[in-house]
Amino acid sequence: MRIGQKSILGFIGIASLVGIIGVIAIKYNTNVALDVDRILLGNSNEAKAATEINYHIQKIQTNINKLLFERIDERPEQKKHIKKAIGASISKLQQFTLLWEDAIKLKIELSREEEKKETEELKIFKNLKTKIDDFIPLVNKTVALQQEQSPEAAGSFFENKVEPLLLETQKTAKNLEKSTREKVITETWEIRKAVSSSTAIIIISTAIGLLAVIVVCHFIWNTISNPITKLRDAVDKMGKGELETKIQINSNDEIGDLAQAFNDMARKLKESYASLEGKVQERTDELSAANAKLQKEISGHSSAQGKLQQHLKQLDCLYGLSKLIERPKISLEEIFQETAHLIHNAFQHPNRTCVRITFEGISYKTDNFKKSELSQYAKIKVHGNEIEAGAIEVYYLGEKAENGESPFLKEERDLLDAIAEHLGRIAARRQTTERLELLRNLIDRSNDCIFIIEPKWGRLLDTNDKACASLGYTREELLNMTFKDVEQSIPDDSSWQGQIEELRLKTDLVIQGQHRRKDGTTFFAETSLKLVSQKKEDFIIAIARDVTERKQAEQKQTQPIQELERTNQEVENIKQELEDFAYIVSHDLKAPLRGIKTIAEWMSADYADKLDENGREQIDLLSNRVRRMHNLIDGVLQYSRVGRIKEELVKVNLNELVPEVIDMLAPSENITITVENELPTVECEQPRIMQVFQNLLSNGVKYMDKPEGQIKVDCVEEDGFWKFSVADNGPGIKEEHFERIFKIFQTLTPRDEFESTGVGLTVAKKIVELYNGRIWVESKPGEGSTFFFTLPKQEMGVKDEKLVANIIS
Amino acid sequence: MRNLLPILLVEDDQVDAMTVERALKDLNVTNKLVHRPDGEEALGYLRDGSSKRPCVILLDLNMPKMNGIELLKIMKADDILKKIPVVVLTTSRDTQDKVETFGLSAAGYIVKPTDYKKFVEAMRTINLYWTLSELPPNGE
Repeated sequence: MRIGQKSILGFIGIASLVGIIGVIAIKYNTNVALDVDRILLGNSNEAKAATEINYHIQKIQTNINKLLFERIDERPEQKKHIKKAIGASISKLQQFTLLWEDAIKLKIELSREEEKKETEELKIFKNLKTKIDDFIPLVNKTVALQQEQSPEAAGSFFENKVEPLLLETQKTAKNLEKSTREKVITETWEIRKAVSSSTAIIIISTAIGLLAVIVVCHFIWNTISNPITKLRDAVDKMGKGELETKIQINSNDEIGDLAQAFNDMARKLKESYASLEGKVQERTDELSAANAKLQKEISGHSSAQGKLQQHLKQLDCLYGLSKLIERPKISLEEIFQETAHLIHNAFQHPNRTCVRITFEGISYKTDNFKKSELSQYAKIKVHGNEIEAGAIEVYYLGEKAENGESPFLKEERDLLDAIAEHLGRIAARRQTTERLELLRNLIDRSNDCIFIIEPKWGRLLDTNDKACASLGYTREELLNMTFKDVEQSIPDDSSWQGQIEELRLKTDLVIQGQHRRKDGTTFFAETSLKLVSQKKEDFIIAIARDVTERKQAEQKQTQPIQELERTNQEVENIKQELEDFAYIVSHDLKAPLRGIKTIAEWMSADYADKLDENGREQIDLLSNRVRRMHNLIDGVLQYSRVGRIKEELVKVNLNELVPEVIDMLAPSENITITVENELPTVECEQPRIMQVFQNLLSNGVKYMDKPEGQIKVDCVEEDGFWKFSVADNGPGIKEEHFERIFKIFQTLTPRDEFESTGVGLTVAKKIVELYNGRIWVESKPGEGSTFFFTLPKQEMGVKDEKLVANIIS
Repeated sequence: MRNLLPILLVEDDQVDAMTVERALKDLNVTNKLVHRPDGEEALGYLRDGSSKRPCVILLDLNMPKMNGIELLKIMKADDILKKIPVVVLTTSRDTQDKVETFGLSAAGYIVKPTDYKKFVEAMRTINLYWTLSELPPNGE
């Protein structure tokens, strides 16, 4: 029997026991209730007694009334009867009174709570009893009186003494009866209540008991029976192989431990099982792999046979192609044609296959060529190029397969691709070869000597025909030489290295040197060297040209040019010297002049009184000459300065410059200088152009001999030049002097008459000619002179685009 | 000048020196004129402890042995000498000379007038100016 079952039975047993006890208790209770009822009923004895007492009192009363107030004496039987009745009633009264008293006493004994009431009840009863005790003798007396005396005496006795008492007693008895009955009812109710409550208690406790039983039962079920069942189930499952089973028992007791132990065991079992399984799986996998391999091999073998044959065919094809290429002097066209045949034979069903190869517009077909629906296609690209240069087409001439399968094998496709690539390469190689040959031809036939030189030692790696011819060596001889042996300007290794370094820096280099022929003669050669860097090594390409003729021509040319340059240089030097000279000389010449002048003045001042007129005149002349010398030196200085200092080329507005010059001259009132036309803006050095106008205008003013002097400044455009004129109405100049006046220090009048440095026109001429202009004079003696000068119109490239508004000297 | 310290004239040309002397005399300038013909001798004078420090130096530029610019450089490098005001008195109108002179903090640059009268005027102006302008006390 299972624990569960046992325990259930046990608990049912207990429950039953409890139940039975309960039932018995209830029953007993009920008995008790009955007993109590009986007791209470006893109580009703009280009530009964009370009733009886009341009845009998009543009866007594009635009987007495009968006795007394009826002619009872006439009925002796009845009288006897009544007396008897009264006696019976009295004895009954006594009996029931006693009964009642006993009942009351008993009640008092049994109960404890109701003492007060009882005592009260007892009191009342005692009262009644007393009354009854008093009453009874009175009744007896009444009866006696009736017998002995007259009924009327008895009657009056009764009325006076007995009846009130009788009534009181009746009343008391009745009250007591009533209260007794009430009490009985109440007590009965109470007892019943008590009984029923105890019944209830019993029921409740039974119920609780049952509940407790259930709870305990449940508890035991959970703690023991259920887990154990679970355990059993789990073990069962485990036994069946379900190793994942885990028991969900979390209680902290022995059963829990057991469950935990079980779980651990299950886990360990699972692990070992899993590892075992894993190993088994591995083994299985290995085996199945091996098996698969084997299967493959077996299946491969069978198809291999067929494939092998096919492969052989294809290999044949490729072999044939490579053999083709090796054939010397075979053309590209022949290669393509043969390849078409080779491909044709390499396919599964050659008699149902046809091939066409197209390359650069030309097609090469097999004899049975015919286009069809089923085809294979491979592009030919010249190796290194992305452009499609041609294609291989293979057409299947047979019927389409019913199941839609392609008549072409994968290997055949691959073959086509391989061949296409091959052909592409071949084509590329051919092209390259052709190009190389072309290049070679060009190089060989070039008119220049071409050398390929190795950079380290200058060994000649290759030469062209012209090089051999020029130098008189054979190619073999040259290839054993170095460039140093040829080029005279590079005699040894160190100079060669030097050239190479320079070449590395500049990449290109041109050497003017001489090449030596085999017979020892040399010729002028211009060699251009270029460094070419390839991945692995560098080399130098030297292109040499025989420049003997050119050199000679150059010599002829350079001589005059050189001379010219030399002359130019000399001229420049001379100019420079001259200018420096002029400057220094004028400066240094002036110094003693000053001294002379000063001393002459002092002499004149200090010794004036010691000098006669001659002496004074001489000293004056001395001063005068010194002054002249000073001016001449200034003139020379001015002249030299004209070319020396380079000023900025600016746009000069002559309309503004000329009036300024006129202002500075401040001619006397009789001389008017006018500007006839609008003067242009010229690009020149501002101080210089100013000098020109200054000199010309001041001459005009200085030499004016007329009372009304008129000087006119004008400008016209002529042949791309500005032609300026300064015309005066002065003395004029003779024609024979037209050239002379522009020479330095030339004056037309003796200096003693007219102080003039004779430099003004010279300076003006120098300036104008600096600008590539011309200066000349037209004049008629007595009528005046017009000085012309030209300045070119074109732009000379002004440094700044400034317009000179104010002219500051 | 406001004091009686000498004026140092560094000038190689005799006539020019005479001119200065004469001009100063005409102006009744009482300061003594110390004349040295070139830079070296001028330095010698200046560095001589016994010589009185001049109140102003009139310096010609174009001189043999040591020209004016060089002397100016040396003087301005010397802590004591640099305080003496130097007026360059020269024939040269050269811009470069002017630049160098003022670059060396000379007090003035006067081009010798060719005319004697103008020379005297120039001297008068110099005298007036350096009479007006104050100098640090001697010994500093």
